[in-house]
Amino acid sequence: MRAIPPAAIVPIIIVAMGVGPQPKVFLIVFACVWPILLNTIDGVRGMNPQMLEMAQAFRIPFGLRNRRILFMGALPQIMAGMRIALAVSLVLMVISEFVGASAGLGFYIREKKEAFAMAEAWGGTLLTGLLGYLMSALFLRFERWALHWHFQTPEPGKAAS
Amino acid sequence: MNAMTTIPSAPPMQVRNLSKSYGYSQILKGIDLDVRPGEILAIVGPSGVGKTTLLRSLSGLTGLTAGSVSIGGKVVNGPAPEIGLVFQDYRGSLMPWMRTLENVAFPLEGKGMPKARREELALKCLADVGLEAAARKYPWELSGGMQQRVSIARALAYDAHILLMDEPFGSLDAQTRMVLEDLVIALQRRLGISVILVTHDIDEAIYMSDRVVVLNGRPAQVVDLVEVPLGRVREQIATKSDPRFVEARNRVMREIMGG
Repeated sequence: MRAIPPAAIVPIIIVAMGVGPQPKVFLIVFACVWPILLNTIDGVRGMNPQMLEMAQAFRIPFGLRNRRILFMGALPQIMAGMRIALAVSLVLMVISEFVGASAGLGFYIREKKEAFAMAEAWGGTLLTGLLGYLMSALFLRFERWALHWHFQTPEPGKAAS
Repeated sequence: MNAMTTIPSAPPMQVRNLSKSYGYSQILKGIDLDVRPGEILAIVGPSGVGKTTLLRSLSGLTGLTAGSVSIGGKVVNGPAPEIGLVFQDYRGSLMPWMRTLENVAFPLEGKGMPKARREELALKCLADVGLEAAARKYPWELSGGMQQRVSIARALAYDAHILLMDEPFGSLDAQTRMVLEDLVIALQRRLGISVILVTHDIDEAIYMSDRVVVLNGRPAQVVDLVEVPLGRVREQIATKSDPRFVEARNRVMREIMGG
């Protein structure tokens, strides 16, 4: 499933689910699951095994260990996956609105283009760009806040002693 | 400073006929050890002999191939609540997303202790290692020596009666090392805990410990058990120039190098 470019199944999904917000939401979820899931797996795998041994030695219960050690340890990677997913979701939103929607930015751009209202089409395009920019700027701030410890942790070997 | 006065004397720990193999290669063979309550026991041996494997077996992190480990007369399988582990790599064992205080208090959360109580206890243990001022800092804001103090405080807060230390000062500079050696000795004297110290540094082993276990051979066995005749008061300069210190060091050195 992962090998299919999400944009390629847009027409099929719209035929199957009809015009409206459902196919759009489905497509975005479908496309966003992969970068987040794969990055999460990577993050968990890449954890310092000593932290997990520490949890074992101090007999940290399973749930607490997962929440406070595994999840937090993988969080930088999870966030990286979410950042990719955010960009992908915007692309898919516009594409699915091009093909089958009766409202939305993509629909607006296509409609204006077909009416040869180029100024409006450009306006929609620029608005999409602005939306993407704002979303990623907001996400970056959120990421900096949630991972403040990560951005300030010195590289291994560079720590002051 | 009286945070730990509630700790009763440490339970004795017995190791009987402990063997450990990975696949076909046997690392440890027939290890017998008695850890007396309130002693510092050092484990030394040439590098790669299996010191860390022995410590991991004692801590319950890895299973035994044969033999048994018991604490206070009870056979243990897996990590025991009496044991506090201090790793060599403090960077990998303190969590960078938790403040110092949270790191120390975290194992207590695992015990289900209420927040106010575990923070109070963690703060006391940080004071025990001279770090109460760093409670609100993150580990990466601290020096290596301070991070290792945090690890020690965490083991104390966990109410460990037996401290297992795997090369705890191995990646610290010489001065910090000496300060921490003296800190561990002082904590042992004050709290009555037992300390099992794995180290490759023979001087450190003899300086800190009451007895030194020498491992050698392949598979590793206990080749000697040296009683360190230096009393319970240790001082970096006086102790290390004591003729009995030199004698004990030479004996251990010969056993390791000539192995």
